[in-house]
Amino acid sequence: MLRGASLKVYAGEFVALMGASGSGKSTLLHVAGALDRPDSGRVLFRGESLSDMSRWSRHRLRNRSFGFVFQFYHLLPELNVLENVLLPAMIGAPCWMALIRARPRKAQAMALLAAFGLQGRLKHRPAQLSGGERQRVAIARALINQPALLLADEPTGNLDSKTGRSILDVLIALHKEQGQSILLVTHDPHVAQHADRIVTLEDGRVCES
Amino acid sequence: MYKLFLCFRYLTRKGIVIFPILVVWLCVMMMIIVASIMGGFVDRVREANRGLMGDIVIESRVGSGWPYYEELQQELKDKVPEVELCTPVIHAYGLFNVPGGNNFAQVIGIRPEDRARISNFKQSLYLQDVAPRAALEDLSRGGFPATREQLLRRAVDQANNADAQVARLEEQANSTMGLNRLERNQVLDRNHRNGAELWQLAGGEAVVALILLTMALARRGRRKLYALAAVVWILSSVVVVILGFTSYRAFDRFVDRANDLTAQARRGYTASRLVEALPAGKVYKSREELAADLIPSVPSFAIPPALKAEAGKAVDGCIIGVDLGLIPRDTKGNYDHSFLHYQRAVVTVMPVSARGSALFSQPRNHSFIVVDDSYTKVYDVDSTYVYIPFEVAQDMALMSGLTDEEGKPLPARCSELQLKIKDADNAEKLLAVQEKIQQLIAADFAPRHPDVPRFVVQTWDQKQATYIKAVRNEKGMIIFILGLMSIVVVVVIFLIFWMIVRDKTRDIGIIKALGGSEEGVAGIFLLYGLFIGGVGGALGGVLGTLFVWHTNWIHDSFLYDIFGVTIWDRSVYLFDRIPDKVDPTEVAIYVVAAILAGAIGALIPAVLAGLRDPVKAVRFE
Repeated sequence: MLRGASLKVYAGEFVALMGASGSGKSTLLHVAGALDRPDSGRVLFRGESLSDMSRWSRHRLRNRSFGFVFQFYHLLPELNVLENVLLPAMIGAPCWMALIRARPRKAQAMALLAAFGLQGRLKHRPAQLSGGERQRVAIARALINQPALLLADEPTGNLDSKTGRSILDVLIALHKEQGQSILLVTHDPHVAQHADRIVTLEDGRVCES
Repeated sequence: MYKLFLCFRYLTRKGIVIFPILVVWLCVMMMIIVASIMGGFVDRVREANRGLMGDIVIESRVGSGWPYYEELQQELKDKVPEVELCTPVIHAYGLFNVPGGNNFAQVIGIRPEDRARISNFKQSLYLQDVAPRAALEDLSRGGFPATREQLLRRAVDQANNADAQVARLEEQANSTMGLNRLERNQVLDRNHRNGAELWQLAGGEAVVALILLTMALARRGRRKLYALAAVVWILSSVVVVILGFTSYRAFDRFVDRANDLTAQARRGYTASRLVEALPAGKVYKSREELAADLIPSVPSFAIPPALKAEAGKAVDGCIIGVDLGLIPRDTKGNYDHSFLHYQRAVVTVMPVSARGSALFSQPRNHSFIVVDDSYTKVYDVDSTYVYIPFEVAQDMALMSGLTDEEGKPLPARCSELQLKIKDADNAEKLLAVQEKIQQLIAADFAPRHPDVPRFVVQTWDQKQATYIKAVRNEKGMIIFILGLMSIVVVVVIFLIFWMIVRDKTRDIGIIKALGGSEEGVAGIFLLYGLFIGGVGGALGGVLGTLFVWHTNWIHDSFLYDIFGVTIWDRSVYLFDRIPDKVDPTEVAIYVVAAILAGAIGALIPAVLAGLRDPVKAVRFE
């Protein structure tokens, strides 16, 4: 799918990745986020090659350094809003640490949700939320471990224009106010125009604009 | 930590988990009930058989018996100090005849006072132990001191009260007026057929209710209407069935109550006869004093003097097994013990010569008076044994008083020696004594008497080993079969987890995207399986234990009283009560097995869940 694709994302940068359907945008995102492995080539994170890392290191990296936001939110339906946001923190911490840091983590999650206007929805399940609320929960979940890079795969693709706009505003605010690095996949030029850089994929190759 | 958290969430928020828990629960409950009841059988059979014989039995495996037993008895007394008592026994085969009935029997010649010391023989006797103890309980309620006449009054009053209640019951149940026993049985049979029809009706009603419920669930429109119809149908069916059973069971309950009262009345009459035999004018100051006079310390074949004078010298007393087929038993399992007491009987024995040939042309008859009956709770014994005095049996079986061709007296024979051993409860010591006796016989006795058939010296445990082993094997076989069926549990859990993992494919992708490892994801589902096994196992353990503890109540007060269903027919089975003891070790084993079954069933789906490609999983629809 990707043929000789090469991309660099710098700290604090907002990069939009565009291309036609099936051009490999999501695949590039997954490879960058250590969710998928390339058949050839290297993926470097802060100078360290992902393929040289152990399996556990890659899991830890995904948990602590990357945050995924998906088009269809992908929240766990059996967990409420607060539990969904806390899940990456639980995954990343050993039992004893999870117990010790439970309260601070919970406070952090609640603060994140409050920042996204979801303080009144903590006990709600995903099925009880609107599309925009679910996506904000997904973003909060992606941010709980303060990742170095936020990887968003068409975060507004399943939302109406008004809601999508609000989500985009959240991402822009994260980038501008907190210097969050973002790699965002989109096919919407109105979304891409807010990025620092737009990268286009054509025939598996990266073209910068 | 997150594995436990997600596992708990799935356990409490996914309805499908109820099915594997239900399967595990029912399986564990079934295993506990079967193992407890079958294990209880084994224990009771063992206990019952233990009370039948001495600690050690010396026998030869020939029907003609063996001589010089008195010499061996003396030798054991002199050289084996652990032997407390040694008593000979005769085993012969024949026919037992009373007016109105006869049956084949094993004729057992014993010395009852010795038999009582080496076994539970006395406790099995009705007139010489069971009835006096029951009478003691009943008579003691009126308090002490009491004269003989006062005690007699109490016994007669008890009997009269019970009879009066039976008469009142007869009046109340108009449909039974004038019914004799045969007619009552016919009514009972008809009721049982009606009961069977009611069960078929209930089954049909249940099917209709199920159809209505299914339609209520399946159809979008008129769902409430179908659900309401199903509920009304179920409620009305339950009411109809219970009312039906209640009305049919009314007569059965009357018969049961009448049987119980009749047994109570008989008990009172028996108590009055026992009190009549007490010394006239005596005042009993305490229960212990009454017990000393009422309960004989040693059993015997003694015939009451009045009957003895009438019967003549050539008549001896005999004691028969209660299930010989001649003593009636009602639906509640109560025997009419008085039916054969003090009846004249003739016992015919087919003797066997010293050389082992059956002397069919020389059957030996003897007249007896039935002085008691024995209930050992071992059917083989109770249905065939007739106990007679040892010397009389020896004479009837031609095992004494014989001479050879030259006119020399032949030594008397017996079939076996039964021994009481000190510290017999210590199995190791008992085996040591057995070994000692075997060596004594091999070294001393056998060389002196090479013509004596080879002996078998066995402890009570070894003697009943084959029988107990058979019952244990039955238990083992049933448990094994149930265990095989329990494989279904593993398969059900496997299938449900296969569905759950498939259902959770996207969740698996999400967890991996958030940093979850393959082992972590597999661990979630493995823990899930362990929890299902644990919860199902715990429920099965608790409810199975409660069921076993209340088995007799469920059978008597629920199944029998309300529906007339008899699974445990006391008139057929060995024991009055269904075994109701639970072995905690067995319960623990089954619960642990349930947990393992949960883990095994979930293992493959859990591993596959861990190995799923996260990218494909996230995109799964």
